[in-house]
Amino acid sequence: MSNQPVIECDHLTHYYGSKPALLDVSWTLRPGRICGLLGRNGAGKTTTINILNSFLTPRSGRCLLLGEDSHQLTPRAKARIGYLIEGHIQYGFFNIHQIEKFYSRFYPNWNPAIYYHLMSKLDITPRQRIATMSCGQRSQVALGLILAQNPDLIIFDDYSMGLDPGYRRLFIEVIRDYAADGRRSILLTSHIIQDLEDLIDDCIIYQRGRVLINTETARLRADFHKYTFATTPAVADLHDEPANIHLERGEKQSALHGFLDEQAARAWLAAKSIPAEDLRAEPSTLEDTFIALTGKY
Amino acid sequence: MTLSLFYKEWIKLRLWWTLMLVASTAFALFLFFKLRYVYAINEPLAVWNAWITKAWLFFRAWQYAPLVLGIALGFLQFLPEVQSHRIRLVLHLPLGETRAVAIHLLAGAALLTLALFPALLLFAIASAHYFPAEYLHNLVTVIAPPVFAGYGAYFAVAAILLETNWRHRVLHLLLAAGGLRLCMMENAFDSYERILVPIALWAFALVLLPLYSSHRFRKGLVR
Repeated sequence: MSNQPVIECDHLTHYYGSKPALLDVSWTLRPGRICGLLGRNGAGKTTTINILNSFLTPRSGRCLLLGEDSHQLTPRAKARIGYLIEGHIQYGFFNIHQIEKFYSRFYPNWNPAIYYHLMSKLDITPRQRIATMSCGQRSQVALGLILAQNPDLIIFDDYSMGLDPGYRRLFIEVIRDYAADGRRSILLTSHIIQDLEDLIDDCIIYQRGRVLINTETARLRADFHKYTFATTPAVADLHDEPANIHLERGEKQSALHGFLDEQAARAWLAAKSIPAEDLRAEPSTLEDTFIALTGKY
Repeated sequence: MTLSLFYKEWIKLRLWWTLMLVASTAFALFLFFKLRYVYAINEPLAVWNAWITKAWLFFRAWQYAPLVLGIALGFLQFLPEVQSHRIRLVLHLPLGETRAVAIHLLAGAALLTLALFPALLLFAIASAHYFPAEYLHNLVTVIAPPVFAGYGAYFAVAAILLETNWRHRVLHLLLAAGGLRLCMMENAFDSYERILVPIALWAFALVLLPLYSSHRFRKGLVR
């Protein structure tokens, strides 16, 4: 497998009017990796996805997909890219057989077995139109069509939107099985971060149009810590953005989050004259880390 | 790939298209029987004279049918595509974006032609049967502008729906409305004889508008 990145975002900057949406954003997705593009509402995820899919021209910078400019993709490159539109958008007037027949003519590596395997799990009638299906069922139709395409790169834009926990888990399991051979590259966005905990290899977190964190998920889990200690009058909420340290004051217990080992955490609190003799490390999920890094407000 | 896109449009429109075909043909049949009745109670010369001097055309009421069908077909075909920006599915298919949208427009124009054809055939048969041979030529020149208006309206509706910028939408509307008005102004004998070709060119040139709008959308040029 080539080591050329499957996605390269190079110094992307975009504004909506005078409001900045992306500010000098650069990152890459390596082949065979599953990457979560995370961020709060308005952080710039959808703007990035729209630029990747060439539905938006950035003010400056560019994106390469499979080595081609995202705004000049050849049909050959497009056939290698699967794209799930936010909300699992598909054609509601088709039934599952008609839509498979429609798409199959466009893709040289089309594999109907994977699509019909997913359809066999759904409680639908053979002639039922997609428009009359539930959101969860529609998501499986959209996913099945993308996987049948046998793409090298898949972009899932907010795959979890409108799905109940059962369908969310099913979606994750199907993606994980599909990517198990390590030959597929996947970029996904979602606001349900706990679902991504054991799925994504890499994690890119946006904050107000900039890349806040771009690292391997395992490294983030290993290096980012949460410590708790008894609240004293000296404790006040504090967010040190350059250092990615977040101090959160609670009623009885306060928490310190950051890329700090215990010794560094004690030193940081001591430098702020905050007593924390009872400081102890707590387990932290990816969602805890995300909130600690991006804030609640 | 072209056949696949035709297949998609057929599945989407087949019910509505059948209704359009039935409505247009039934209306034409009604006018045909009305002409037969007028002939039964009037002298042929009086009917011919009415056509030439009083612009009495037995198919006059039908002349709005292409316009109505063109507008309806444009909405029925492209509204589902623009809802939730579903057009992104087509534009992401592995073929040229302009080609993909052009195939949609070709499919729509073909369905419009097939929906209008039985009525036009019926009018031609009626004219050949009840009027002198020269009237058949006149029928073509009189009925062609409203038919061109149908195609123009179809392309204009497609452009307005595919366009995401309101200023461009208004521009499309103005470009289309001026020509449409011209097509529906006169229905007297030989009124459009000299401008038939420019009207036809205008109607079919409107196909460029939806192609332009979809190109701008695909290339992310919409502001």
